[in-house]
Amino acid sequence: MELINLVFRNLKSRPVRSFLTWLGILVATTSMILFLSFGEGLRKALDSEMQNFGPEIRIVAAGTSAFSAPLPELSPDMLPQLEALKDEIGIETISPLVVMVKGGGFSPTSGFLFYGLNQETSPKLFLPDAKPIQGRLQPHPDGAVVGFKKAEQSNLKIGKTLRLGRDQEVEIVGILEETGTLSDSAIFVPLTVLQDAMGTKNYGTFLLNLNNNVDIEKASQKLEAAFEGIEAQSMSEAMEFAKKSLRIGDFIRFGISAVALIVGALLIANTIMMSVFERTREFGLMRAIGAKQQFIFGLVLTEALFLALTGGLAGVLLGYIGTIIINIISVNYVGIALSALTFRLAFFALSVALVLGLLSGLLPARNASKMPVIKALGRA
Amino acid sequence: MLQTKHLSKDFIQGDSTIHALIDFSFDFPKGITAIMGPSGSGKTTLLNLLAGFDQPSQGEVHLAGKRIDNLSEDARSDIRLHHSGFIFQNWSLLPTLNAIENVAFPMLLAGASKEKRLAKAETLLESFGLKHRAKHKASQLSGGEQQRIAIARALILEPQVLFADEPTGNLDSVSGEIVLELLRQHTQDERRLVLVTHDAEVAKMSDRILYFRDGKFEKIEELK
Repeated sequence: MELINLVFRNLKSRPVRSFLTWLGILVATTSMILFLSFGEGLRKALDSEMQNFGPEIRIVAAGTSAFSAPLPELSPDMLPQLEALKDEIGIETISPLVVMVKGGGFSPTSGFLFYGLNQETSPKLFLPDAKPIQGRLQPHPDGAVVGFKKAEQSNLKIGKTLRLGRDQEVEIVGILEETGTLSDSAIFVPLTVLQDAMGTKNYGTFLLNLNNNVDIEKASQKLEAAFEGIEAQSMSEAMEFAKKSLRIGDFIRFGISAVALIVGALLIANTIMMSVFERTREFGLMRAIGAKQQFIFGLVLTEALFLALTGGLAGVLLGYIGTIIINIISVNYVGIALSALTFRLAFFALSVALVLGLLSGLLPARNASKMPVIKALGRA
Repeated sequence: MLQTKHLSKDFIQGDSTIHALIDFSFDFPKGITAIMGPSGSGKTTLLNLLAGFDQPSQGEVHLAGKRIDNLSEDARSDIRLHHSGFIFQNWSLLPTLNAIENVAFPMLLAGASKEKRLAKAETLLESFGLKHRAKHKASQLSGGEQQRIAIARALILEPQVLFADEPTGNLDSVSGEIVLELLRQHTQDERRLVLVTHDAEVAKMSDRILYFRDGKFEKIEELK
């Protein structure tokens, strides 16, 4: 406690320099939090999407990547063939699906993402807890059910008509409750209407639910063997792929934020070095009175750690505020919270700040404590 | 209590060796011992060795019953803390601490509680007529006040030996007289004060004067 008091007084005696250094740590920690919070946010969003996503296997045309909207390339003949393989493979339900992206791609502010569902398929396939806040849940036989965010952003109301193609129009018959997932930005329409709008009888994908105890990997292999030119993607596979991409992203983001952190560490080292240099005689005086080397070492190191800890804590707090702002914007624009400050990220950022404080304080602390008394006092 | 045996200190400067102190043996009696001599006579070198700031090239220093010249830096710090006090010519207060905290600082190093430290420091400051300046920092105090506070700090752990290096060197005559009077008061008992000075008037208040020239002890003049 006494040590902290001495440290605080010394930092207070050089207020501008101490504040600028503290600010450097704060900015470095905040930038790391913000950079890495994107990874955490995406991971959370992905988990939530996947948890809500019922089917275990997605059949798409070969070459379709795990997270792209599949083109309608699967022949309608596949549906009866799949039905025939139901018992052999252990398939519980088959949901044929067509996906159409119109306007500004996946951006919910300018684009429209349509899912064409058949009569047996409900939006609950994507969102087990889906409930309408207005109208009904099922788009069939004649209407469209709109996700919460899409309805809000495009001012879509019950009874309004959506034009899918030249002759294809559907009336909005339901608006879903907000779920905080990408499905909030989707529009569910009858399958045949969407196929007509796209001028095809093909399907984009088949989503399969398997019976209990069926091995997903083996089922995928059997399906790929049974049909040519398709891929049977398991959701866990897709999840792994996505998480791997996120991990790569994490490394890149950490690399970028590490630059800010290194600058922060150099700031601390510079401040402490200068402070030690200016206080050489003061340390000499302390030693002359009877302070041991360890006392001086602790004093200087605590100063670096104090700056790192308080700057780091403030950085975490500011980072948290930053993630809230990012999320307000990202929820508005892409429909999901992109940024998240998890406990492990806050702990990691604070630990990195402390380790850097420790490393940047070690050398000045050592120099200050090892300096011969007579030299420090200028009596040599 | 304070003794030297064949104490020598050499400094290497380029190719030459400077004999700053040559073969000095002395058992310091109680009371005030002034050390005088021209610049370069070895006064400061001797004081550095006696206080354990530096280590001799040869010989021994004994303080409080222990040989200190061969101890580690930390062990010498410990001896300084508990058995001696040092009063510098100037710049002797810690700038971030106020007067009472400066006085109490050795007790902090010795591990005393805050209450004990401040109580004892306050008593000392009161006896030095500086209680009203307790909360002032060094920059707000006059040279004489700073030096009185430095003396109070040197005394707070009641050491047997005091060292003072030109304690009145930077003070006006009135402040200098007050400082000397304080030093005199606190060496009435068994305490030893080793005082380095250029000033013959200051030296006159001591019990004896040791004269040095070119690193050699020349003579002792007993005054009382």
